[in-house]
Amino acid sequence: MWFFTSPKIVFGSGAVEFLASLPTKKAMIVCDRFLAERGTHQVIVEQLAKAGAKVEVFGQVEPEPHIATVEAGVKLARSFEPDMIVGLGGGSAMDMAKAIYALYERPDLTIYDITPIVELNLHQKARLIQVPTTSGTGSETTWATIITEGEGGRKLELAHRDLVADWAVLDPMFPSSMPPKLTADTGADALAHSIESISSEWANPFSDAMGVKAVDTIFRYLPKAVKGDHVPPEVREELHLAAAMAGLSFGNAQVGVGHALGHALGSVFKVPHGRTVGLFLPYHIEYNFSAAREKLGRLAPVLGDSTVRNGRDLAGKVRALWDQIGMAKTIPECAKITEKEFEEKLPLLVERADSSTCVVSNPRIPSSQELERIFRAAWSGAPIDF
Amino acid sequence: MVKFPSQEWIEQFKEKVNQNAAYEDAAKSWEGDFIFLVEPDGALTAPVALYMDLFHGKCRDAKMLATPDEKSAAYTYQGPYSNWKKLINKEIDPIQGMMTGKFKLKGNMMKIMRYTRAAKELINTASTIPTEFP
Ligand SMILES: [Fe+2]
Repeated sequence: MWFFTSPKIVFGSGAVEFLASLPTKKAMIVCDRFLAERGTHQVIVEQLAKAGAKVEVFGQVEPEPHIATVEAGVKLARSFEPDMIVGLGGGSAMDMAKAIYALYERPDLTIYDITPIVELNLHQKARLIQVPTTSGTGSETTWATIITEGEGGRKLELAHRDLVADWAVLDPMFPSSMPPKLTADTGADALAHSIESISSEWANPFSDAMGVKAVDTIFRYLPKAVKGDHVPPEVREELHLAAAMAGLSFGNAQVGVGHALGHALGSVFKVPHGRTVGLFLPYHIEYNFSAAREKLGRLAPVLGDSTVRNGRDLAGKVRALWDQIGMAKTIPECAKITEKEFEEKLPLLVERADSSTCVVSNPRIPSSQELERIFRAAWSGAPIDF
Repeated sequence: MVKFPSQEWIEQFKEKVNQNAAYEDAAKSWEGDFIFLVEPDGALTAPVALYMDLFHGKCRDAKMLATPDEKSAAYTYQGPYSNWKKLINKEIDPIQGMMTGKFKLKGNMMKIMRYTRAAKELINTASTIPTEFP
């Protein structure tokens, strides 16, 4: 027995106008600080005004958001009492919206209670709407939220089925202005979601359908979106939908050791999420291939039989894409740190990866020693041969 | 073959856990005791509680309790007998089992979510016991 959980989805050009049709009295928009400064949220405000809603904007979400920001947002929500919460932005803003939403709906809980194995019974006071402005995180379609404990602190991997939005609004107008580096980082995250979830022990026919389609789209379109001076709108739209599909894939099958390693590196050395999980994706494939040969073989129709014959070739296919879009393939290319700093922090990196919930459905259960060996391989660029 | 649930089964489990290096590695900093509560259904007519004291990668104590409320523990993992059978036969994943309501866990969630690897290793160990289900 298992579930496939998805928000209702409105997509395509003009999708944002759908918000005007939802009966709403008070809406709280949770968005990234730089989006609030640029006024991106005004597009949402206009639509909500058509619905006659009063709007409050919580525009303080920082990258890799902290618990303190959740608390500030919850305070605002409790005094404003919205019947709609809108997450607008990349993964940070949408994750923040989920955390604020949960604690607004359930004032009796703390953030640590947001685990998949308790009853939350949300969606009583407000609707949750997610509007992604980047194409990668997949947070708009998932039940997961990543909140950092504090400066340099651990990343809490919180999840609950009730955190899935009522509606995901996929309007390609938002990602159209993403700069190339952000397009590459977020696209790499989406590819990591797809491939890690296809290899997961929890993979199922529904998640696979989404994951395989997303892999096909990302390999086809990501180089065009990163390299072109003028990115055609249909390329942006394809990638925007693929990111949501990759979210449906991993949201229903889990990511794996690649994300465990990425979260550890990102939290210790403050590197953006997409860059770290992109870096570890080829290592995830090489490490897991022997245990996930059949599952990863499902990529044959889109990547070719010869590519999925062994881990080295499949990882090589990803590395070739990383070369095309300028993604880092080793830790020194990804994080500006010295070997001494790396060695000093290696025990902490291993401990954080070790305690990540992302390893729970990984095809191989990595020992602490193996995690250390993967970190070292990712430092030097050596292939995984154990 | 060892009957589940029984004193003999939990003793064998303790022995196997203490021989499992992968569990020891995953749970090296774990401190906390468990009650595994087997709720009656099918052949089992009364609840059975198995107690395990897990500390720093080892099992220090394990026994079948005379009654489920003989002892309390930091965590209680509970589910019907038929689901325990599936869990030990590896037909149910221990974490998915909780997410689908086949098992319930009581205790500090924040702490235990950092030890999902240890939980998997624990179930892998249980499934190596030649178990007989009455
Ligand atoms: Fe991710």
